Amino acid sequence: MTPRSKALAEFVAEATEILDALARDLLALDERRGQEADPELVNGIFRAAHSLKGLSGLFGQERIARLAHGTEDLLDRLRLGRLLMDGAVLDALIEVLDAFQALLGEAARGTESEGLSARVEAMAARLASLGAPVEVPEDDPLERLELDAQVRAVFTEYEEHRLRENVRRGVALWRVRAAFDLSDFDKGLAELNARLKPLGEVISTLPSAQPGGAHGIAFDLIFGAQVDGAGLEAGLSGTPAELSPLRVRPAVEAVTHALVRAAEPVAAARDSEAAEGSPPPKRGGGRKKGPRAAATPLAPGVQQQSLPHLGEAAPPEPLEWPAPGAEPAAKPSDSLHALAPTTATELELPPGAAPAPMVAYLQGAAKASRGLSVAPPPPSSAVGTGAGSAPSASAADTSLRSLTQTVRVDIGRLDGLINMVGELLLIKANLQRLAESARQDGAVALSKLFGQELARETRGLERKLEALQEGLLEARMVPVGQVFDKLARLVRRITREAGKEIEFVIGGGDVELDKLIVEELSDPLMHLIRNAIDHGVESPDARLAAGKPRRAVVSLRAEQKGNHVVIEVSDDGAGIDEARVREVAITRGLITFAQAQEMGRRELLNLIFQPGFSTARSISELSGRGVGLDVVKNNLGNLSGIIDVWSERGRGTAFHLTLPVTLAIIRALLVGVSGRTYAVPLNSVLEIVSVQPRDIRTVERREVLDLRGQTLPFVRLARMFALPERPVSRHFVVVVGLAQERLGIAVDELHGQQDIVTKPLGGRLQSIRGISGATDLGNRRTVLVLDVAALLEEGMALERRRA
Amino acid sequence: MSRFTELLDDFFYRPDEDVAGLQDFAAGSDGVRAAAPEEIPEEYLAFQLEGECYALPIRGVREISKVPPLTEIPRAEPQLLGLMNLRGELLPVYDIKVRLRLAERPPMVAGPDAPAPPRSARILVLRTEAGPAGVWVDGVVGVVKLKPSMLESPPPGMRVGDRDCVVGMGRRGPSLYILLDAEQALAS
Amino acid sequence: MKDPVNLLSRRPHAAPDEAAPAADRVVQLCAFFVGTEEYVLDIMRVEEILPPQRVTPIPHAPAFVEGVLHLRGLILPVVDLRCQLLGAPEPETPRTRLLVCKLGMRRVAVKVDRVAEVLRVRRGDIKPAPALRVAGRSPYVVGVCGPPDRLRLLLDLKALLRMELERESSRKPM
Repeated sequence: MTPRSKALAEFVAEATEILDALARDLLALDERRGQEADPELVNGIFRAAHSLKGLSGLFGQERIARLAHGTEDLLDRLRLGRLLMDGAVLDALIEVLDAFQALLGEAARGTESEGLSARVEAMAARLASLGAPVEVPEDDPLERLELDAQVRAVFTEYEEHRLRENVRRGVALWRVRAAFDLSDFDKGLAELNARLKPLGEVISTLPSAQPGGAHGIAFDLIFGAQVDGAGLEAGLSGTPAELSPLRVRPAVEAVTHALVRAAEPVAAARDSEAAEGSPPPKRGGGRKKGPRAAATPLAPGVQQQSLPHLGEAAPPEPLEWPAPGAEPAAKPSDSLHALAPTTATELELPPGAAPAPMVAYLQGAAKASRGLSVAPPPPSSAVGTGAGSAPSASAADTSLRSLTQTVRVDIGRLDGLINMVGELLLIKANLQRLAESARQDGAVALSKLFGQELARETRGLERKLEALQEGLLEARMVPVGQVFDKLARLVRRITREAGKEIEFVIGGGDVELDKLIVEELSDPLMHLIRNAIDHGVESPDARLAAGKPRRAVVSLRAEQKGNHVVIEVSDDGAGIDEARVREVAITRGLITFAQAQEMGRRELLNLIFQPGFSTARSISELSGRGVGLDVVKNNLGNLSGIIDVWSERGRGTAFHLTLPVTLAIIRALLVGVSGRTYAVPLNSVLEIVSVQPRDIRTVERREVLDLRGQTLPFVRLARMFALPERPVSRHFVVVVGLAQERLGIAVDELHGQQDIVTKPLGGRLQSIRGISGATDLGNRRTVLVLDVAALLEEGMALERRRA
Repeated sequence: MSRFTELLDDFFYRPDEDVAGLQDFAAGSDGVRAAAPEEIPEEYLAFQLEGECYALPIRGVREISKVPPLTEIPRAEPQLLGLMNLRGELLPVYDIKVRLRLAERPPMVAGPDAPAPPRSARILVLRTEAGPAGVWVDGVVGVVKLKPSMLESPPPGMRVGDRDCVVGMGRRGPSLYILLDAEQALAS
Repeated sequence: MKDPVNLLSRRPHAAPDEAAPAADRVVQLCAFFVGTEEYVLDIMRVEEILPPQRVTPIPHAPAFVEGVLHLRGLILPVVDLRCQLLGAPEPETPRTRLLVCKLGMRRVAVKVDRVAEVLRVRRGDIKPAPALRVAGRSPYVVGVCGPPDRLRLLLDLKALLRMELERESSRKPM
């Protein structure tokens, strides 16, 4: 790779990560459209835009930088409460994300289209002009917060805004103080943050003026709690945190106290550099505050003086909540949490109040019924789609594959792997020592002790190598949710275009699969979902007429089942018309009328996977690309996966994709046929039997075996592969099976089992039937790995044809 | 009809066509190409197939490898000789002699009955649209630089393959190279 | 001048070979208009297409030679085909073009009214032209191709030029 292309690849990889994170947050925001926007999400998107701006600037990607800059500005306005997050803003952000994806695609290909550049310009202009400004209320609730002025002085504008919002919403505020040792304070702080995160919002982290001891450093975290005091304490047990509630005066007292407050800091600030002087009541001002450094020069004495105000020494008082009337905007559904650390809440809560709302940007937002959602979004999420919302971006159907070949690996995993290598080196050293002593002293080599030691080291080596292998494989695993999330966005668009109403349900996104498999899944899944939306699901009116709910449910679920993962794509639509399938199959010559009579329902449905099969009456622009289910099946076959379909007229359809968890290492049976060697994945081998030629019978011109009273279809691999057949006195029959099918494959020899690393056959070799990959057996012997699913099918088809 | 054929021949361009009577007319306009600054020589990799000398643009050749043990692929198209393992990468290896009408059948080089490859045989690993692919050649001659002025269309009577794999001839001193188009040669 | 890439990207056709299925060979022809007639030349003969250039008239040149032009160190005679084929000089339009054509190893520039396209034609689909033969001389339209509503005439440039040169020399008092 040239240095330039290497740099570009790095840029694309990093930018992709940023965009993925941005997309996730945006999707989450979109799901809660109309509700209050989670500040964490908005902040997350803001940071993503900021990072993207910096990254693309660094790599000279001007269009991306420009758009990122515009996005960052918009989000800054949002998160500072100077802009409302409404539907228009959300839609704009979604379009921006699409534009970023397209830009990144062009960057990766090294092209620059005029159309896209024009689009970027238009978007940047639109972003700048978006949004209705928020009305700034007269009374600043922050005035009522009893927080030392110097502390307030070091807040950034954002933090102040967050604090203001928390106070406005009546969220209980705490000062969490913790001291750590200088040597590992970052770990300690990170842990503390991790503990706090599910319990509420960390608004600000400040170095505490109170020293943390000679070798220590202390922090004050201003925290808005979603749990009561007891809950907070429980959540922080084990950490060195000290809690003290921050008092908020009721609105009525605000004015008097503001005056009182104004007087104090003047005295206190004598020595300090808070030349920002007496802090006037802050409005939603425009400038950022000075750096935190302003806090540190405070003389300790000053701090001592103001502390008691914060209620540290005095017994904590219950938070007084201003009467609802004093609030600038009434929020009937706001729930309140009192903050007496020892007593339970004494305040009256509005009846039926749900747990505390998330702090929001929307004023007057009524709904706040989500639970503690600071945790990662639950696996099941509903994407509601209405008709006719914002115009979709280009309808071009691009693949959902990543633009990069990189995988994010948890650094802990990597460390673990490095450790293992260290241990391997130790074993190597031991072996070397043994070898050396054997070389020097011949007699030792024959001693039993020596043999034992050698065996022990070798066993240890084997174990460690296995563990290393596993560890490395795990590093390739990514959650299948990666591709599910991308699909969710696509579903919105397709649904709108198709004029249907759909609820898209996702489950099991955290099931992990090899990255390669996940990537390869994106297209087949997209295809299946498209089919479901275009053809499976009826129009809302038709559904109503059929007595179904107007909104159809399309679901995508993943589940781990031992060595395999099953992914289900299902819909509650019209189902597959089996009669029509039969009709088409006969018309297209796929089966004869006679065969059709014999076929069971399941077999009939499976005909849809035959090449050239399509029952779509109108091949709409959306799905009529000539890509049939046979391609889906093929693609899956390349991953050693199989697809199965279940359907019922009027009720719906479900596709089940069964995939191995990992492609890379499998246990295989090595077999010999006509002097060649092949590998058969053991996970599809049910048993191996030895049969005499006379045990093979021919029934209606098919060869079969009688296996424990059951008739087993039988094929000779040599014949299938057009290899010269050798006469043998006995056949080894490898009985393979997948789902319900069984087939016996006759080979000449068995060469034992082995763990092999399978490599898929790329590009030009895809069309080789019956082979799913190849492996290196050492000694430069490359052996082909049989595609059991394909062979099964071929065997079955052979039967059908002969029948 | 042969008169027509003659006339038609005259219509089509050949660098060595008969221009009797016109030389003076177009004097001063002949191959001053050597002086033209735009003449950039291109590098080609020259190799042998059945004694004949062929060449491919070097930028399409990723590497040249000795012939490793090839794995036979069952039921593959005849020109797919087998699979090679190049430092862990699996690549298909093709025969192009049949397409160039240099042989009737592809050689048997994989499988248990295959003979050892000749010492001089090599595999050229080419970059193609469908991915990297190996081509079996009898021997590699080397890299040769050809200037545009050295290139010509194939002369009449040239035995060209059925798919236009031969795109021209390169003449450099006494040597003549048959220029191939890799994509066409490997198209299935 | 074209670099090797162009040579390789074109599909040059083999010269006719009685044994080979010559009729199936596909050839590429450059089509252009002179007046209302559409003519074609072998694409291999057309090296370059230029917009109208500054042409220096040459004293005592044959009438059909408009002059010469300099092209990257070469001197090319410029033949105005419109004058040749239509009989009278025509004013230039924005679509007038100069085709740089090869004659063996030499070149001439040929002025035409407009360039139409590059066609791919099966050699077998080229039919002989019902030629009006001037006794003893080669006709300069050697064939036709294309659908009846758009016939294109195959122009044998060499024959045309030879004919003109001969006419010239027969005009001049020797």
